[in-house]
Amino acid sequence: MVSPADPARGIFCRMVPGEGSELSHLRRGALEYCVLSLLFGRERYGLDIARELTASGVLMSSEGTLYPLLARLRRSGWVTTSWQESTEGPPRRYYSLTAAGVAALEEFRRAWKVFRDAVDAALARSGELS
Amino acid sequence: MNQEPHTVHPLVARYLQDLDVLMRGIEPVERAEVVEGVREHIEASLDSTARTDADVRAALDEVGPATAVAEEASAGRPGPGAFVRRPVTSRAWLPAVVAGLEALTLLVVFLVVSTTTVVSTGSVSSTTASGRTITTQTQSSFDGSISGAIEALFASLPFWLVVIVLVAITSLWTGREKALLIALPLATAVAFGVLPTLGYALVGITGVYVGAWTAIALVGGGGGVGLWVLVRRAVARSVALASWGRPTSGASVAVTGQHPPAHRSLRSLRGAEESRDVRVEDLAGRSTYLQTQQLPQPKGLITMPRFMGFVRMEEGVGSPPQALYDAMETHIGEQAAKGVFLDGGGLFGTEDAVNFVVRNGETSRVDGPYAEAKEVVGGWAIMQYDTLEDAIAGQQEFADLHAKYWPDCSSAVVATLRQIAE
Repeated sequence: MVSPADPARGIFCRMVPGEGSELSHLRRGALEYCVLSLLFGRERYGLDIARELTASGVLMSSEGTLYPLLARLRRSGWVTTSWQESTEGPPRRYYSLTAAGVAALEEFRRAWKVFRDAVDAALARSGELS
Repeated sequence: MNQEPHTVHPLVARYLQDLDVLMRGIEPVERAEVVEGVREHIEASLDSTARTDADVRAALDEVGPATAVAEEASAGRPGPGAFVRRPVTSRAWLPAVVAGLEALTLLVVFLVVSTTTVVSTGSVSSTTASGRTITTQTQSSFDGSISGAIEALFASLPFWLVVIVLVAITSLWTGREKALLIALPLATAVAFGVLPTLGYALVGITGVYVGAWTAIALVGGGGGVGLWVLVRRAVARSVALASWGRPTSGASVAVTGQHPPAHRSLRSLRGAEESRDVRVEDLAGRSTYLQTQQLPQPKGLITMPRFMGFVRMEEGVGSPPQALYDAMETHIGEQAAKGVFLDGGGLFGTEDAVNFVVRNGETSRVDGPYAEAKEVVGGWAIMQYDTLEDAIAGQQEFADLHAKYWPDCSSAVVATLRQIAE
């Protein structure tokens, strides 16, 4: 009788949280501010933002996840959209920061610095020991 | 470069349809916004390509799985399972029923056309006897077959109407797929009506048979395969929707997702991984996010280890006494009521068994029954216990039932317990 555990193990192995999961965890909450930052001072369209965020391979892994995020930002009143003619192809939807978005970005920037320093300090403690 | 800005590639249409279905439960405006955003994104990224299937696949790959997008869309709000009740119209039974009705429709069309065609062929031979020209013979046969097709359409109308209604209300198919499903009976009637008459017009009576067989091949092959593909697609969407709609799945709900059925269907979902420790620490301080995770859910089902039990015995030792069956039924009933016994049952004898033996990269088939007496698995069960100790105690109780109610069984009965790796 073929052991049923082995094929099952094969399936389940792929579900074990890998290194990517910490990353996607850290992204939550920070990524939207990265988007705000990308929009600071200039309007951009979706594909352009997505390409920049996925370029590092760290901030975003699938481009599609940008759109729920943008929808959320728009609903919060932090970004606004406008249609603009494109040189190649149909008109594009451009996203830009609102005043509230700029304020939110600044607030995050301050919070992030404090947070990052605290995490670094906490990690440094164990880093010295190991 | 951009010759067809208004045609959406079928792969893209399917992706967007899946995405839309997965985001059911998110406000329609936002849902449309996300789908539109993704659609524009894909279009924009395809602008500089030749839009071959490979290009489209590559672009979709970059966009990532629809489940990941839907998961992101539901982040920061109550898990979709909290307020989404999967509508009746997107359950898996619907495509199955549609398939059955379509098959019935095709059968009715086929039967009606074939009977009426026989009648009309008879009339053709009688006109031949009266010495009329070929043209009029063709004419008479033509009338018969076409009217047969129309008759067939009317005969199959009840099924067809139900198909139309079901296909129209479900969200499991795209517009194009729906059109295909609705048009299939019509196309069948046309094929059965036109092809035999066309064959007759071209080569006489043999042509009728050739035409009829061509119609059967077209409908059975083309229609059958198409139907099969569309139904499979719909079932897959329904399953994705089901696992997505459950409170136990997806990152927005911080459940470890250890319940395999949900888990397995979420294999492609990075969310299943992400969900693991969201509950423990959430950096972003999304307290609302955390709160909504306390959804009512069958706790035991998710965190308790599961076990598989087997009963092995020598085949041909005779069937157990009725007392054992009765005791077993009571035992399993109790265990099921306690939530321990999840599923299980006895197996038929190995005369029906099929084995595929893989050795040195080759697969060969060896069917039962086996010549020599062999220990076989006679029954199985999937059970859920709090701890391994409980599971062992439960399995012992189960084994003891065999000892008590089947004392004269001289060959060994082995009740095995294995924990399921998950």
